[in-house]
Amino acid sequence: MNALLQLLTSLPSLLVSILVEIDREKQRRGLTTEELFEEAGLRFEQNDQAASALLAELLAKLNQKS
Amino acid sequence: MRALLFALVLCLPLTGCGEKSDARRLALTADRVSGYIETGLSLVRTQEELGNLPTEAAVSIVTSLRAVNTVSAEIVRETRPFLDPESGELRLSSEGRSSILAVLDTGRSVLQTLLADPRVSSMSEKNRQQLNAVLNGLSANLRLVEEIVRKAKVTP
Repeated sequence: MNALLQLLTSLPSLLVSILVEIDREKQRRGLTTEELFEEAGLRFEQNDQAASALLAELLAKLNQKS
Repeated sequence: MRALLFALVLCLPLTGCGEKSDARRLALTADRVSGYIETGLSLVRTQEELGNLPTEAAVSIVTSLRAVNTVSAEIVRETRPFLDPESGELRLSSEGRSSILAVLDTGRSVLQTLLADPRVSSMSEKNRQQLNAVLNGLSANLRLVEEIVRKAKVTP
């Protein structure tokens, strides 16, 4: 019963993830190979910035704890 | 069940794999990998904020995801100049191929080290399954890149 409740409460976020992925896949199909490479390159850069910011936050948290 | 649905969401893009040129497959793979890393980072942030993931483990996972991101960006940079825009075929020198395979090895090592990290193996079952779905997706895509690189025509 608990597992079912947990699943039901997590459904909205899962549905959003599914819709985002379907939308992303549609966009991918409409892009040329060159555009796809450009898009991926851009997202790698954004990921690097996001990871760097997240690491800084987490390390600051760890420093506060110690 | 939730982890299964999560894995299903991550596998959705793979359903669109049909007959495509190597250049196209590589570009799609690169785009998917960047998406997996984005999902992984967002997953770590949420779980750490909710208190479901120790901060030390979060640091370790983010560091590894960042390394895989760097490796993937490098693979794209290294491979792109060798793609024939007309045929979509990949043509590499033997040195170029060795260099890309070495980068792929680095990516795989990072993922294996992360999976073996005790901070990851001690995560709750649910969190570990979600992270595994992301890491398995990344491994599958690295394998796909390796397959494309290995069958590439070698130019003198």
